[in-house]
Order: sequence, then C-alpha cells, then structure tokens
Amino acid sequence: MKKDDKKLIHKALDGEANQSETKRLQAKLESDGRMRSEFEQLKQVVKDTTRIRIDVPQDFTKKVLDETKRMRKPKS
Amino acid sequence: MDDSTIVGKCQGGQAELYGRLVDKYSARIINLGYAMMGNRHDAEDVAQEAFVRAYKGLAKFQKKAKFSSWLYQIALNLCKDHLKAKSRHAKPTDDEQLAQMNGDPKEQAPRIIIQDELSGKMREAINKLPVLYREAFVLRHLQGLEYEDVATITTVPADTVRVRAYRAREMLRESMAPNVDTFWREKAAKEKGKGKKV
Repeated sequence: MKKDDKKLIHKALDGEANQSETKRLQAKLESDGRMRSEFEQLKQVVKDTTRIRIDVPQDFTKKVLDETKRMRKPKS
Repeated sequence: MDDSTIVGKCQGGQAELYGRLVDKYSARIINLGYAMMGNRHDAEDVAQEAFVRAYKGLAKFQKKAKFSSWLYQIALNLCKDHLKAKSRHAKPTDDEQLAQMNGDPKEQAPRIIIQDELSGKMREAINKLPVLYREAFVLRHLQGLEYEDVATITTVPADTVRVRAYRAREMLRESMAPNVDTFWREKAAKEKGKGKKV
C-alpha cells in the first residue's frame, strides 16, 4: 500500500480527515480489497482497546485520603 | 464544581475536597496504569502514589495548567519508573501469571477482569509495544484524549504523538490480525453449532 494511502487511513481513524479526503478514502476502499481489510483491522484494534477496563477498588479514595491526612498531621 | 475551583479550595485549606478529584479521576488513572503495566496490583499502587504526590504538590500547582494533565503526567512518570525497575527485577504481568496457572484462570483469579479472550490478547499486545508508542496509544485511544492534551502530558509535539499512535496502531494491527481473524471465525463456528442444536 502507498504511504499516502496509509496516512489517509490513519487520518480518518483519528477523525481528522476533511470531506474531500473522506471521499477519496471511500473510493479507494471500494476499489482496493487489501486496503479495505487493513482499514477494518485498524478500526477493530481501536474498538477492542476500549474494552480493556478494570474496576476501581471500593476503598480507593479512602486509602488516598487516609494517606493525605497522615501527611497533614503535625509531627510531634 | 470544576477542577480548578476544587484545586483552589484545597489550596485554601479545604483539603477534604481533594476526595472529589480522586473520585473523578481514579478510574482513568488506575486504567492508565493497567494499560501501561499490565498488572492490576501495580496499577492500583501507582495510582494511589500519583494522587498522593499530586496532593503534596498542590500548593505549588499553578491553576493556569489543567489539573487532569498534571495528574496524568505524574501517573505516567510513575508508570515509566515502575517499568524501568520492573525490567531490572522481572515481575510478571497478569497475563503471564494467568498463563502459569492450571485450569480455568478466570476461576482462580476472580479479581482479574478479562472481559473476553480478545481483550486479553489485546492487552498482551499493548504491553509489548515500545513504551513511548504505548503511552501515546493508551492516552489517545483508551483514555480518549485529544492529541494536544497527550502532547502536554508527554511533553512532545502533537505531531510526534500522532506518529507514535500511528505506529502503535500498525504494530497492534499486525500482532492482532491473526487473533482477530481466528476469534471471529471461532465465534461464527460456535454460533453456527448452537444454531444446529436448536
């Protein structure tokens, strides 16, 4: 794939492609199967990334505040 | 109350309001650590340390800066320090720990939430990215920040961040492509199988 085409794909993924670039990309994707496949894979990579999440422990804020309170206490 | 007001009040002596900032950003900072280091325990420790350090530095914090960017910067630096130390004393990621277990890892490690096989593989792939690409990718796509904000946090020009995120996406696409294809093929086969039974 041409370097310019790659750049165009990534610009679109970043939501930074203007109207004429979006049109150009659509036309290329329709005519180039390999480019279409790479574009779909990249979109999937970005989408899958958002699934990586862990929960905050319930006592997290309390632990932080306990620590900051300890720091505020005057040393005797 | 916005961040700037809370920071001002904390600086004025209402330290108890700091909890609001911790509540607001804890999920983002813990998940930043998790994506950067691949280990839940380390992510929680680093996040706690980041909030404590931010609190310590609050008196000197200038309100013209964004509190969130400053907090991200502290957390990211702690993550990098941790990764450097870890490379000296290798500590396994959650995925490596899971791989060492026998049987169903989800049953044996209930605190670890892997939403599905694919996200586990994705996290593994993210952990293999060079740190500078990883931070650009994680801040942009997992944290959903604008390139200008990522640039402020990482103290490099926005165009450099763009290139790093671009390269990270390409590397991930290459390492995930076989997994993505296999995952969807297997999923389709399973669904087809289920369909037959009914």
